[in-house]
Amino acid sequence: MDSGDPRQAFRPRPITRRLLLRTAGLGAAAAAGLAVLGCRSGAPAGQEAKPSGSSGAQPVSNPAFDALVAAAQKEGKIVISGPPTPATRKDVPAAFKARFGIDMEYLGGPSSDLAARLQSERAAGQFTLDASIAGAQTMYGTFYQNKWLQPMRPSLILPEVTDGKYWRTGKIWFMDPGDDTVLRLLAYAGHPISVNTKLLPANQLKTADALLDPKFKGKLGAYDPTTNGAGLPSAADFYIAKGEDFWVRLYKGQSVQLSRDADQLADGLAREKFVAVIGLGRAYLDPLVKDGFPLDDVALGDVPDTLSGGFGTIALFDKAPHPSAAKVFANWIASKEGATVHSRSEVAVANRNDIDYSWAPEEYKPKQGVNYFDTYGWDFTVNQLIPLRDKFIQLLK
Amino acid sequence: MGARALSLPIRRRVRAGLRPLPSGLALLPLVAGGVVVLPLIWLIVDSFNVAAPGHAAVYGLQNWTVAFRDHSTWVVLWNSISLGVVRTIIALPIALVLTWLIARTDMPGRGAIEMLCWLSIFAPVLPMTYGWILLMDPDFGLINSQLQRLPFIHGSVFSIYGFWGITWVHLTTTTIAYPVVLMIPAFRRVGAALEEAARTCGAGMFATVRYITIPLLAPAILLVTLLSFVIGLQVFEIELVLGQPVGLWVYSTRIYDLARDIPPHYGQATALGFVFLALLLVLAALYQWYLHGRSFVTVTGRGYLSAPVHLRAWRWLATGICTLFFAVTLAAPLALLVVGSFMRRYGFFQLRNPFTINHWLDLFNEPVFFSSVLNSLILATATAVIVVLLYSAVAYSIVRTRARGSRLADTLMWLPWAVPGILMSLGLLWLFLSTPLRAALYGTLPGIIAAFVIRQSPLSTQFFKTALMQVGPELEESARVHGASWLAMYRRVLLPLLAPTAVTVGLLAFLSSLRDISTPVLLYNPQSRPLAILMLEYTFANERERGAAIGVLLAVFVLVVTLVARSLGLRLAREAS
Repeated sequence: MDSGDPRQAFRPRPITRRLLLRTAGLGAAAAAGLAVLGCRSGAPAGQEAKPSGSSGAQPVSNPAFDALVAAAQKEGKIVISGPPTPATRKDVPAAFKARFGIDMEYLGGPSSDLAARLQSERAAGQFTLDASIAGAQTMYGTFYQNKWLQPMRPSLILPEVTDGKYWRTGKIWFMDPGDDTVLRLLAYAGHPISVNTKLLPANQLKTADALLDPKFKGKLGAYDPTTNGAGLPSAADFYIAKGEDFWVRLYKGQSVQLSRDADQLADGLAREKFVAVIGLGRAYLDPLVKDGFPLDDVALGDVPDTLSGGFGTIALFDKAPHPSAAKVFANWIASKEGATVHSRSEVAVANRNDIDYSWAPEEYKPKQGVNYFDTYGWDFTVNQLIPLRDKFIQLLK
Repeated sequence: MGARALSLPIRRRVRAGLRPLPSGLALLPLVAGGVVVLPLIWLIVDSFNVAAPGHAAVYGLQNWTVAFRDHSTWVVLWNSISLGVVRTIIALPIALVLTWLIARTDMPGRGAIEMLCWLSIFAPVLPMTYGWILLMDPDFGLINSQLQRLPFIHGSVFSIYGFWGITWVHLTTTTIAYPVVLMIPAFRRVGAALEEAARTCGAGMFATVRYITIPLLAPAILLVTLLSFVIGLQVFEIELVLGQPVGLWVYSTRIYDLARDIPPHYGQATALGFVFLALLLVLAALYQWYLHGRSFVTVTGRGYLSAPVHLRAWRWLATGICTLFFAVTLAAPLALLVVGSFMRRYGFFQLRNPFTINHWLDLFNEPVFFSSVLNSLILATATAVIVVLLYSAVAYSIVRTRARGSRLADTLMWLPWAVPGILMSLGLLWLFLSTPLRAALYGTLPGIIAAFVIRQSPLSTQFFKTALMQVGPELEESARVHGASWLAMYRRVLLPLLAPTAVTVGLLAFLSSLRDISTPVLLYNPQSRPLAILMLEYTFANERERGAAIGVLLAVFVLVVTLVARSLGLRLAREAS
């Protein structure tokens, strides 16, 4: 009973039978609620909250695909390899699990380490991976060349994947000569050079020849073209467009400072250590631009813009330990929902034309009728890239 | 040197009455040596495989000839050796003085200085390097920009890039601190009696150090010098960041590039890596030759009293110089590491609202963060315990039993450091996959623990050996004459005497396992991912700020674990003395 003394509120109440029963009842109700929630969180389909970037679209019912999903759920999991990008490692498995209730084990890391693992595993008769998200050099040069992959095209059964109208290229874009194994999902444009517009206004850099001005000697940076990575295709862009003599006069004659650290190059551009940087990429500039630094990508009249793919090719391994889950994954990552998650996490534009790209700068989006230098072209990557790299090593000695 | 040992006939009679050693103890070094060398055998064999990846093996010399035919290989090897020699020459005297001040004198604050040495070793290298770039870049470095305000300074004074920048960063991170922490246990075990005898005969402090202390500690000093030199040759992150802008390349970068090429050229990388093996074997042979026939016993049956040298008026000057040393070499980059983890963009103080806690929140919200931390703790703890127990027994067998094959085993225990970590990891990968235990070893925590334990064999075995050489055999023989089993003697007599070394070795194994990337990089799977792999992923994704946050966590962890381990070691040592 309330005696009016406020201290009563803090005195322990005697435990009565009524209180005991009420508490037990509430506890049982809470436990039952938790049990129901726990059951629901293990269930497939679309009531769960989707990770950022997910389209939230509900796919049209497809009996063949539903049967495939059921078989994949029996397998219980999928194991994929992918880029070391933290966002991709977090978002792709979460979205896949939310969509299908299938666990995804994600093995990230440098491509060369992955190649060493796979080679060793396969030599020992072990097959641990179902699928891979990778860059062109690894996918074409290692996985495909070693015949570790299986054709993906027969596995793609969702109409929103197989219908060409959803693709910028008018069809699903396979890169390999058989046109069925290595699916390219990402394709974003970029200008060949980034500048600090305070030191070099963009309108003063119309052609690459301007970079040979002696006043820029020692003030240019570039992603290292002597090792596999982003610096090699951008150096190749200049080499193929302008010739060897120009290339030597630029990279060597202008004492271009090389680095394998994109952030270090971007920082140098912002701090006015560099006037311009070759092969940097818009994704490294945008955070600094948002903070007010006068940086920009510049198109050159005599060196074509590039079309890149980042970590944007997908393939299925043969002898996959979870074949149904692998096929489900292939359909999903190529669908609007999966491609949305993938492209947002990689901060890149996908090849699908039904995804919301409002977050992406216009420069990322490939334009019709522009003749890009495709750094992900099959012939370039497989036949020209390594000889060019070796050539660059010799030229820079 | 040291107390006079029992004469040979007496020792034989004593030994005749002793209980036998545990069976297998004499064989332990050979067995352990065989296990640690297995991955290297795989690597050597594969270095002669010239077939394309995925094809049947074809053996030839092409990998070796291609690797060494390139003139630039010899240029980068020269760069590496000259960098290593220069920094060893600079670091060794400083390390000796620091060690002596910490372990043998009454310098105030010596415990704190020792802690700072541990912090220097295990602070993450790349963020510390970026910190130095922020301070000493010729174009925007903070130190340069402040100095240029002075009227008589024109242009930048310091440049962190190039030979001397690389040397400076090495000196301020590991090259001085590493030998210090390794030599401290040995320095502490030197009894005061010999030094007092020297002073009684009229020798001053410096003469005593020069003619008594240093020669007594020659095995430890030599060993530490060799190990530091070899480890330094295999490091490449600092050289990549500070050498590439000025075209200075080193040998380990060449190996790294070959191992990370597409497709990887492991045969050529292994061929190049075996230069380290040749160097290591030569250095190990010189080390063995120096030690042969000499005694370095400092702890005998009469016990030892480790009394500190009184510096008197020099005490506070010594403390001041040590504090200044660490203020210059560690405080600034460490402060930048901590601050950097809270910055929106590392090093950009001029941004509007430059600070944020988002990187820390993102780190703690990382789905794999806590599992990675737990995996790392399990890996590091198990590695430390196994390393201490296993390699103390191996060292004992090598030093005391002089069993047949012990010299061979002693050499074999050096070999895990003969090749860089990424190649060792590849050898272990092949080893695990080719055994029936692959399900238990590949991709699992026990497999990674086994890899870490193998990787620790050179340092751990040699340090226990050095410690055992300082302990006279009469203490053990006395225990065993009184009926103690070998195990009881080991536990109650030897281990307490070795406690400081055991704690140091265990601590190094623990902290190295926390930070090691190259050993587990090919051996983990998503369930066994350690924290260091998360750091690697952030490095590749250019997430420096989150990498700095992990670096801060590791630094805090180093401090806490070192404090605990140190107090444990000191307590055990007090009980022993």
